[in-house]
Amino acid sequence: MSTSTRRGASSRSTITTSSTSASASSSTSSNKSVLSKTNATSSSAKRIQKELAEISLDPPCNCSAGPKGDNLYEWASTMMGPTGSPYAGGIFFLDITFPQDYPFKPPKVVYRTRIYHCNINSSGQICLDILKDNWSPALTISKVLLSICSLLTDANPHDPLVGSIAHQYLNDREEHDKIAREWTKRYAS
Amino acid sequence: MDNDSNDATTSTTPVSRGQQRSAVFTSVLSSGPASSLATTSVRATASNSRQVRQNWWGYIVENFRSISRTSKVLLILNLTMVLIQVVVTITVLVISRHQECDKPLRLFLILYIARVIVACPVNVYLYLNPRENRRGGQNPNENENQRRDGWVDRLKSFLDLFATLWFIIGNYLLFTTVKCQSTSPPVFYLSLTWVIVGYIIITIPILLCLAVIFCLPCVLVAMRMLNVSEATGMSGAKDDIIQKIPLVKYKASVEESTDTVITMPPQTSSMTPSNDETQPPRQDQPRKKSRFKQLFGSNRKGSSTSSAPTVSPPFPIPNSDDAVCSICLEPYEDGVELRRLWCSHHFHKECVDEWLKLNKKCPMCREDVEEMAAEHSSKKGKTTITNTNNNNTAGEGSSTNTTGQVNIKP
Repeated sequence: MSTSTRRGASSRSTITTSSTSASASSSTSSNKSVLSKTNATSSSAKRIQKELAEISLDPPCNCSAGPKGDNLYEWASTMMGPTGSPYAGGIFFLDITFPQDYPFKPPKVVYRTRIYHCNINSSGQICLDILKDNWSPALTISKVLLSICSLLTDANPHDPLVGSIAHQYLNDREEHDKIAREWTKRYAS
Repeated sequence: MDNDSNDATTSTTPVSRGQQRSAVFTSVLSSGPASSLATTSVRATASNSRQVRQNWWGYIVENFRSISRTSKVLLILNLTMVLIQVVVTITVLVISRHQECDKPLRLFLILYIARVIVACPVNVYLYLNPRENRRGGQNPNENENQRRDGWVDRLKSFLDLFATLWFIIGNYLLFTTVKCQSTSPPVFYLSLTWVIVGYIIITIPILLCLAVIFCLPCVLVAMRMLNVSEATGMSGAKDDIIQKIPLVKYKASVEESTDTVITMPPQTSSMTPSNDETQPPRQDQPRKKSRFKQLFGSNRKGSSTSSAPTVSPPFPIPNSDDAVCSICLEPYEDGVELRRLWCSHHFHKECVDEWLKLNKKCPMCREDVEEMAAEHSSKKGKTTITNTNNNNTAGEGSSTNTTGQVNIKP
């Protein structure tokens, strides 16, 4: 319901942008950059709308996501700690920021809840290849969230963001899991 | 400062007293057995000095051949500058012989030009004997060479110091003079010119620094605007390679899932309109809409194909779930232009072009497009992929054909 109204709004907005872009192209080449920028904005908004519809229709397991307010480019997401991991039972909040040229540049995903994990540092930055060099426009935010979720079950201690936690993960897994459970209880529940 | 300026005239026409001095001076510098002779020739007879001069000219010519091209250019430039300075200054001094001046600007000019003339042979020597050569070491009379180099270096430092001092004095004289500008304008303006030249030479390093400071951000902004990727490991494909990727035209499949053939031979491309006509009419409303889109799309295409030599054969995708551009997530409209990479993944032309400019990997399988292009072109001779090749070569005429028909149809 809500998605359909949103979609209507988006199509209207794209029509207006296309008319403005047509007038811009008719003027001169000097505002070519402006033109391409508006095109990029409208296409990224369209794509984010599609993803929003998809993620609300068929949410990935343990996750949910949606825009924080009116701004389509700022999303908030919640993630349940996957069962079988030391993060089970915790609810983690994430912030997602889409760039203006979205499917061509990766979204920025940051943990708002503190978490004891060797690939996530204290300010919530996530070390994940698909959020950096290995980004592909064929990835969607639900796939990204799934990857982050699987990162919670299987950490990657060989490419760590927090070296001490990675060291502990490799050498003293029990202690690591214990601290992770404690942090989950303290910060994420 | 123009302390590096020196005199060319001395080397070519040794006439005046100063010349005599410099000739002797250079003869000291000349190497070989003649140098000992040259040192004694300080109080030389006419014949003796002629021999010295010959020696020294040969030395200059020989060394001039051996130095690098940049050095040659710089040396010639330097000598030209000196020549101009000397000629202009002497002319002005001669012209304004009888004019009055409240400050000793004439003296300033005379000493200035004397400094330039003295510095000339030193600079010629320094150009002809670059430092790395002087550290050679296998010279038999190395001791003498080193002594000579020491003297030259000392003389050079002294001349530089003098030039700096003289530049400051020139400034002082110019700023304090009251009447000179009106009483003897040539001297005044020439002094002013030399001082300004000195300022320019001083400010060149500062200007370079400022250029770096102010231009670097501009360059960075320009790079950003031109979408030069700042991330490492992300590099876009070259434009010509993107243009080589085959274009296809999406066509909603006639029969659901009967044929799994993806590309059709180009001969059938002319048949497509009739195919369209015989096609069972499904849902009138969207059909019309898609036709409108098709027209619109072909119009847009008409403008873009002028650059792209590839033709777009019709491209039915049997499964409607696959008929989606995975970059913008929009389902393909009928007749829209797609790019089909060699890994057989397909996207909207505009979408994938924008992506490949940033990153040359296929969005789906991450295969390198440039590598695929190279592989494809190496296989080109064989008959396996002649299908698409035929489209590229034989389609020249038929492409206009198809687009024309599409335009007329509605």
